[in-house]
Amino acid sequence: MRFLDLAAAALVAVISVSLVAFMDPLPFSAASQRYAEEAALRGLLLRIVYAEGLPWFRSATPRQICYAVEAYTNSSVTVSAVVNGISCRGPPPEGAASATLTLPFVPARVTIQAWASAGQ
Amino acid sequence: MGKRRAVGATLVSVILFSSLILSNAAILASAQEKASAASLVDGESSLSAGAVTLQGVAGLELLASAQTALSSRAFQCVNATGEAHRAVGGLSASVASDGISSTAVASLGAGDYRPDNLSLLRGFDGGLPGRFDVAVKTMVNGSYPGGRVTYSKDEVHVLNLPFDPSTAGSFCLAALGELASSLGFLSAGTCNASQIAAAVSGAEARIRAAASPLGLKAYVTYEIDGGASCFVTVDVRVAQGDIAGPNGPFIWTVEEAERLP
Repeated sequence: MRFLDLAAAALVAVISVSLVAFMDPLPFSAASQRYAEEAALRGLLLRIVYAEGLPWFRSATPRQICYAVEAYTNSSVTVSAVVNGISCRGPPPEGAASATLTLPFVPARVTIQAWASAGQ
Repeated sequence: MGKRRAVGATLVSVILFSSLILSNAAILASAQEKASAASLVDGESSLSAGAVTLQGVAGLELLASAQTALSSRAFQCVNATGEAHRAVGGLSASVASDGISSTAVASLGAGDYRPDNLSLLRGFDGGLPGRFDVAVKTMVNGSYPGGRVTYSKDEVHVLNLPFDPSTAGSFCLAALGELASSLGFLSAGTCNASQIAAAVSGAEARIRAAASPLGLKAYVTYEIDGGASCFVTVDVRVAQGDIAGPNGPFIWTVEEAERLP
């Protein structure tokens, strides 16, 4: 009889701990944080477009665009661009929070991108 | 006694673990809700940023098409502004990216002299005196992956190209007047080729001198009709160059011919 009691209590404990472990809210919190980071990065990209102006992005050379957008890179954010498929630097690191804004001009398609630097 | 204690302990553990699970479920639900809301906000922010950008890109591409149309040929001097609006009216530009599409269509008429909020276009936004303003209807549609957020907005903006078509048009008409005045002797039936050439040459020099300070270039050609009567057809061509358009500098040209006397 005592053995049955112990078994029942152990079963309740195991099921409960498993459920608690399964219902981990951390991934959702991390997702929320990532969404917030990406929205902030997108805000930065929009500020860059406003600062330089669309006519400039349409007429500038790829080198000028790379130079201008990379000037916004700092210790926490890396900013780059892809002009007609040619990237100023490599793609964002895998898993990093990132945002892109595409300017599909007829002469050249310009995509500016920002990502959170490693360790941020 | 011992048995009752064991049952009591089991019950207590069931209650404790149940409350632990319930409170954890509440935390999980809250985190899920927060993540869902953050995803929605992210979708809205993504659509909103993309929409405003594509609206500007479509507007700029429309102005680039307008520049091509306006620099492709010479327009009439009379009602040059109306001619320019007829050339641009109905032009459209469509762009799409990341699930968002935007179309800009130029109206036939002129826009108002008013500021505009497409400041992404820098000097090309807004209607300003002394500039060629174009009323543009923009339509933006988009949806966020998953279809939880959709975006649809139609607006009317006033954009501009930095030149006044009527400047060259008015100058062209004034130049024709100057030529008509210089060739006034034709009314008396005089038909001397060298006299005509001298009169046209003198008028052309005056016209060119007057054109330069206005940033214009004027060209005059003429032709004497043979026959019993003496008629001279003069042709004035006025070009305004170095207009800064989205495709780079372009030239706006007007031309008018008149048969004298």
